[in-house]
Amino acid sequence: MKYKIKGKVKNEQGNPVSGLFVEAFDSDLTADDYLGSTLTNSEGEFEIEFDDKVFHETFELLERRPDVYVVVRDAYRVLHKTDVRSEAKDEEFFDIVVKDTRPFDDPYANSFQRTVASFNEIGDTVDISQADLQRLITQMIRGLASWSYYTRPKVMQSVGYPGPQVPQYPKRTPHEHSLPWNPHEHDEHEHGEEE
Amino acid sequence: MVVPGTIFGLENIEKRKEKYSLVTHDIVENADVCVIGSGAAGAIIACKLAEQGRSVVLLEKGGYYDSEDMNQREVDMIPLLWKNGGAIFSDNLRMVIVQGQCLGGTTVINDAVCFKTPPIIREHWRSMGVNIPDERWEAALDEVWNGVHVSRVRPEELNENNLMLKKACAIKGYKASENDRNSVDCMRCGFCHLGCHYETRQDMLITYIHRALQNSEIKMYCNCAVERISHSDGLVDGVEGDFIDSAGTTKFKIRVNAKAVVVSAGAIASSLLLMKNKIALGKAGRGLSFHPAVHLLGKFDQEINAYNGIPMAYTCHEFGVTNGVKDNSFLIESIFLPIFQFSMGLPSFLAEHAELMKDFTHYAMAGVLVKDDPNGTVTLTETGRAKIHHALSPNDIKTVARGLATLAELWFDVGANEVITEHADITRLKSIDDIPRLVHAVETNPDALNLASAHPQGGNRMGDDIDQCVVDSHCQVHGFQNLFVCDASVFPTSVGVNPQITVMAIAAMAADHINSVWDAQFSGLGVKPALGETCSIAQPMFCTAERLDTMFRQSANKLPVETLVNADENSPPEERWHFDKESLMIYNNKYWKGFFPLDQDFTLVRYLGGFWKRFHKQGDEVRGITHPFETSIDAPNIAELKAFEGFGELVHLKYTSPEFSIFYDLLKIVDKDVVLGKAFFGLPPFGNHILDFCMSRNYSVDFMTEDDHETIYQQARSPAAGEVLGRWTGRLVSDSALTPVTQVFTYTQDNIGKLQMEYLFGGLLRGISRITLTPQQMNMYDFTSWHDEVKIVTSDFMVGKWCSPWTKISLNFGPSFLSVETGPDGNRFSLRFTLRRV
Repeated sequence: MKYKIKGKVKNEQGNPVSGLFVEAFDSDLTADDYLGSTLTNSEGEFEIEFDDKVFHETFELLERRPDVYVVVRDAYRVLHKTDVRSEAKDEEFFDIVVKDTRPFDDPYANSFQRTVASFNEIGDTVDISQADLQRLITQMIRGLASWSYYTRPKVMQSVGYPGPQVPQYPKRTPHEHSLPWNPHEHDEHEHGEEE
Repeated sequence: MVVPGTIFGLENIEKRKEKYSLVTHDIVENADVCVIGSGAAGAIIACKLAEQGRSVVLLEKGGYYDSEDMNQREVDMIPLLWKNGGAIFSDNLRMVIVQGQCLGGTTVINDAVCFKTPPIIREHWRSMGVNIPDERWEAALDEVWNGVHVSRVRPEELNENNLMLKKACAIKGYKASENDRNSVDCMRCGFCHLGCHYETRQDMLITYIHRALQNSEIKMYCNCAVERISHSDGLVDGVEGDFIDSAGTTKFKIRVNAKAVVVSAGAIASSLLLMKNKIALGKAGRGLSFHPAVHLLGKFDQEINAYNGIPMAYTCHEFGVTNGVKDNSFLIESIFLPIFQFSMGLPSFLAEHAELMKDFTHYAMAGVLVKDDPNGTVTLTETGRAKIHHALSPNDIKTVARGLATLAELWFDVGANEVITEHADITRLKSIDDIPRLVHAVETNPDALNLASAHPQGGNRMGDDIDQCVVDSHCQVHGFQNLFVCDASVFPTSVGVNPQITVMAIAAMAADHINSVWDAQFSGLGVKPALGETCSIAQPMFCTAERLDTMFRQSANKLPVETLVNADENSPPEERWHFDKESLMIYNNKYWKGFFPLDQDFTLVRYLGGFWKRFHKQGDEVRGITHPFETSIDAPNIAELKAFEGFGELVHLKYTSPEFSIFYDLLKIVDKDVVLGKAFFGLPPFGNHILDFCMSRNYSVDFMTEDDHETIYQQARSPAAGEVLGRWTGRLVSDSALTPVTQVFTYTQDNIGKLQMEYLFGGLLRGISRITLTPQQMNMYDFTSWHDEVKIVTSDFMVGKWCSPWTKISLNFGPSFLSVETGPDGNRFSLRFTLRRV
């Protein structure tokens, strides 16, 4: 008996994606059976045909119909794995939307560690024997203290410095582009320009 | 409109402003032009060439961050945008050098101050062999001036800090003016050094890079550190680099085959890249100047709130090149810093520091920018980094002292009750009478001054003199047909003003030149499609496990199983094994050498592990053995072509002897000399996948086996003293995968001609070796009882071993990364390595 798995692959914007590698499997208690593979065409469509012999293995005499699922990958990784459709019909259609499931990177993560690590990059570019050690140590302590102390918002404000004007994650936090410092002066400037 | 150009990079940040794509694998590009660097020069050249129809690939070491990533926090932005997190020092740690390292380069973190190249500087450079007439200068300067939307700061935009300098200059009657800035509707937030969140500063990101992306199919690769410019006989054929993630790990490789290459990596980095690639040796890295800047703070009773507003908006020209002063000139420019940088810049410590910081809002700040003599140097260190040497010349010291005295006087003139200096001996001036003490301190102890430079220039001097200069007036490297260097590194002397516009103008002129001669000089150059060290079917030994797996799944078995059969003893020796000195490639058909993936987890396995498989025809069957190196195992097997569930048709390698029958391999023959494979434990088809591997008949010397090493060693000869001089990097011979560089050897000759070698092993162990040259080989002795024996293969490649003393004891203790040699005096261990010239 012949089965057919058809489908269409689109991206999040709804455009068909061609050239993706599609594999179909029969889900089993033991190793899943491979049913076939193909590439999506220019319309994002694919079609895989298989025989019931493929999934009727030694230990699966009882299995009447395959439990199919489809895996879509690009040249480098798996993009999408569909849910298993138990007791598949003769022809199954999969509407697949592939999206970039990679989590977003936090550009500011571990900034302190990365800064300390960058000192490693100094490597053999300096000659400690030429340096004034006392001054060097003073500078290092001042650097560390400045970094850990004067970058704290409360400390900044205690010396009269209001600190940043935008949220720490500007892309995640809605914010307006207006200056909290001297709003009055800024208004004047805007006004002056209109004239 | 669909934007045709794309930025590529490793970081996946949400809501990118430009079209962005992730790099997920090794890349090979074939392009007209490869531009290295995306700063003031690189972005303009790339844009102008791409707009004229050249296919351009741009490589940038830093990441791509748009304005909405710039959150005005020093702790977050400095490591993202500043080269090496701001930690670049001269070799004596007395000067810190700040450069940008991100898409857009230093233009993303500078104070947007624009000066056209002063006429007296252009004239001076012409006298030094720079053939650029004033008309060309003017045209280029005007072009970039408009390109980055320069406008003059309006008087009402000056904050109290800038007004203080303005008042002081007015009292003295000094020539001074508001600055020109490449900024439109500046929000005056004061965070210029941390990237412009408001997109008002017209940096490369929102001008030329944006333009190039809109108007051409340019490809910009970020997070890509260029290591190699491959060239021969004055012709460059490509560029190779590594994609390095924020944790410092090399993720992927790139090779760009290009008809022309432009190096715009910035002063220091450009010279470093040339030196690394043996280009313009002896000339590159000389004649750097830095515009060393020293700041003075004036402390006032009233609040200045200098952090609020444009940091650099006003300049005193009286003593500068902008006022026609030729020698010992300096500018006084107002400036202010966000709080962390400000705190770093104070000369004080502990309680005094806290006391000074308390008055943060009461300081006015200005800096003296000294047009210094070009006597700095950059040299290449053993680990491939840039060592920067700089010392103020006697003239510079006088100029610094004079500048500081002038500025201190200005501050006292407008009512400062104290002036804070950056000289360690005298940090606070109470009145105008203290100024001579500061001058004396600077002149007698200049090393106690904190110097900072944001304007490194020079290193690859422009000019006609082939013996002194690296590039000609078109930025083309002397002696090269298609290599250009274009950035601040080509300045013959320091320019005396903030250099960004000069850099941009030189870039615009270079781009125009390349465009005008493109058809005649470059379009006919054939691009050799080289692969570098990128992963592909043709050289799978450069692939990671993930890529091997995908390649395996997506390739079909292309050739019959007989392709596996190796040459036997009766075959001509050339067909069994040969070594091509020219390409340093080994062809090995004695057996199939196996390669583990590049990201093999166990370091030990790299040196200890590895295997080969040998196949022969027996009747109609193809049978073979699998042999792990360092063992006596020869596992017999039989190769059959059959369809395999999940993988399609491929070669099933079945182990026939009972002890190995619990293993099987699946192979795909994807090329006549390349096989991809997977090893399984269990019974087919239910085995557990344990390993991805590949096998190839062709591999480079970096992958050689101990056998290959011995054969090549036997054929090599003893080097002459002159042949080894210089620096070499070494790899230990592994049987399994590419191993990292472990040692650096530097050979020098002293004044009586005696050769000696300084070694650096693992980046840690350093020492000196004595050298003797014998007719057989070069011997090197260190403090241990072991010694090295080295022979030369080609002028750039040597092979060697680190040998124990001979002993009568049998040394066959089992698997080891040492090989055992037997000779007339008994046995000895040897550790085999290869050396490539840096």
